[in-house]
Amino acid sequence: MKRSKGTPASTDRPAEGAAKEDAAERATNDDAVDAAKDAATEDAVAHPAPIERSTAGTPRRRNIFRRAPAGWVAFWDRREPPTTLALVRILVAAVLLADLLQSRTYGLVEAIWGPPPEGLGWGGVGNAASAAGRWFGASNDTAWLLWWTGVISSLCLIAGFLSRISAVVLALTWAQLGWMSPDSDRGIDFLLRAVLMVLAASQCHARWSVDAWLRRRFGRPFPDEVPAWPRYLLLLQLVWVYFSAGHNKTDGAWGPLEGYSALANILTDPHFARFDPSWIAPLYPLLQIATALTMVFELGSPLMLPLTYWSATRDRPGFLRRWANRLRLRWVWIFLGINFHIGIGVTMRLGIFPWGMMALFPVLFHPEELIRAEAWVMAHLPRPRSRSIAPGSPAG
Amino acid sequence: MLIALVIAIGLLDGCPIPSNKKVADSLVPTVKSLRKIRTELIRPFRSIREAFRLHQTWKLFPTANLNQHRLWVEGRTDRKGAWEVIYRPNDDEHTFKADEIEYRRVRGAWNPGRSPRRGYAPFTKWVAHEIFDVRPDLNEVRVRLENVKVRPRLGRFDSLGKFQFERVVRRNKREKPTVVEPTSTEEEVEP
Repeated sequence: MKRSKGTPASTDRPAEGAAKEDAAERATNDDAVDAAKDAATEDAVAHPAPIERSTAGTPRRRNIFRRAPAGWVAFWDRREPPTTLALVRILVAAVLLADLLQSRTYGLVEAIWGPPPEGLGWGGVGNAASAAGRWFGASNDTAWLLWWTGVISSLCLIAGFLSRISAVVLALTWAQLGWMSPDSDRGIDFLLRAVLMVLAASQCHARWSVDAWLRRRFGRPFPDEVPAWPRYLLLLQLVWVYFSAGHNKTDGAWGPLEGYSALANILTDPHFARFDPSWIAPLYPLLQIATALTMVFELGSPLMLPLTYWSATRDRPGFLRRWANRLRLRWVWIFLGINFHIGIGVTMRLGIFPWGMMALFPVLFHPEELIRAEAWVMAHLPRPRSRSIAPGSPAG
Repeated sequence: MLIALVIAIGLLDGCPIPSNKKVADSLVPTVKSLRKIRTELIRPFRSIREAFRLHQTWKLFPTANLNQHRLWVEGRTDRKGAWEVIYRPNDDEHTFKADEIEYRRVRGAWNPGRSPRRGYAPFTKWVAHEIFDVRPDLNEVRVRLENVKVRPRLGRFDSLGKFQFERVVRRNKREKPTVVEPTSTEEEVEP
């Protein structure tokens, strides 16, 4: 189900024509897979647009179930510039590398992944030992082998050198580090491993990478647009992480029953608090608001899917779409998320968690938005002055 | 199809099925059946799940209790000596190896849930080694968790006067105190 070059490549792009033109195009082209997707989404939000009304009762409308699989395939087959995926690749790998370097800086590589009794790596010994423990033996040497493999593969992934292999090797290494020392493997590690798997299957190396440079040198450059499905999948993953975290917060302190006291409680917990808790008392009401906003942010995360879609198709009609865009609800959610993570990153000792989560935030933006941001940054970066050479003077 | 399968498995894995303790007795068989069905459906993909150590259930601070713990690491010269506090979180006067102990991967071993983690015992040994290396005068290290109650409205936490999960590591008497490589010959005593 290939798109013709003339049709919009992605819902992430602003609609190129007016709604009427769009409807006309769809009415005349039964294979227009964008239309199938749009029809399904519009139905889902119980918000019939003129497009649906104009086609209601036609055979095309009746065949929606037959066309749904084609629409599904077309949706996941969309293309977009690789900027977002390349940025996620670099940020995620950088966060993982920073974590490994931090463990080395503290002199903890053998302590964390070495075998007991001196090391915490109890997962590398016994009958249920990890693969690395079985193959290489539970030892400090194995801990160092895994550490170096992680460092090299994360460096390769940042540079975009053998990116797919590097991503798989890094995910497997990170998993083995987790199996060797299960107590040291936290939620963010599980999440970033899943992200690495998606990146390995993507063309995240089509930009800002050694791979892309090499392919240009050999005359086989990457296309300008790459499959967008990995970004969609990462967006779904991010939304699910927050929603799952929200509905797993069963403690009363996260709700009105205990006065939204959760964040204040956690910030007073000596095991997590970065500062002496004396600052919390005067700001207690603000922390209650922050707790409530955290729940709104997490439980409201599925709304990011329609908000993102409506923002990408802002030229189309619809009451919800118009108001969601007018109130900038998508930006409100992103702003809440960034504040949430920076807030806990500053006030709590959570390691890479807030930074690892924010490394995925580029997937929340439309590629065009990132490209505009990149252009803005490039325009405002200080550039090295080129030496002006007077005409006729010797050049160097 | 592959993407649909990945999404379906992920949602299945992350589907919040409550534990038996959290549902009414009449619903326990249903919950058990649901869990069994999920296990069977995910079984074909278990090898991938284990190779990459993946899951889709996310719990970020699910509980925020008022009752928490505070780690104490102490040392003393001999069995009759008084314990000296060497490290406590949120205590500017006792910060031995604070960065290392509070590093997220190490904290995972000593920060308890309902019970101490399996890495807790190796952690006590490791921290004792670190202390014995730089403090030749100490021959015993005690690691325990104090029960505290957080009082955010007052901006502090208060001790409840109880300790849990206490472990003592002694330097082997046959071995001279040394400041070089750590040894593995300490005996460990659980009071």
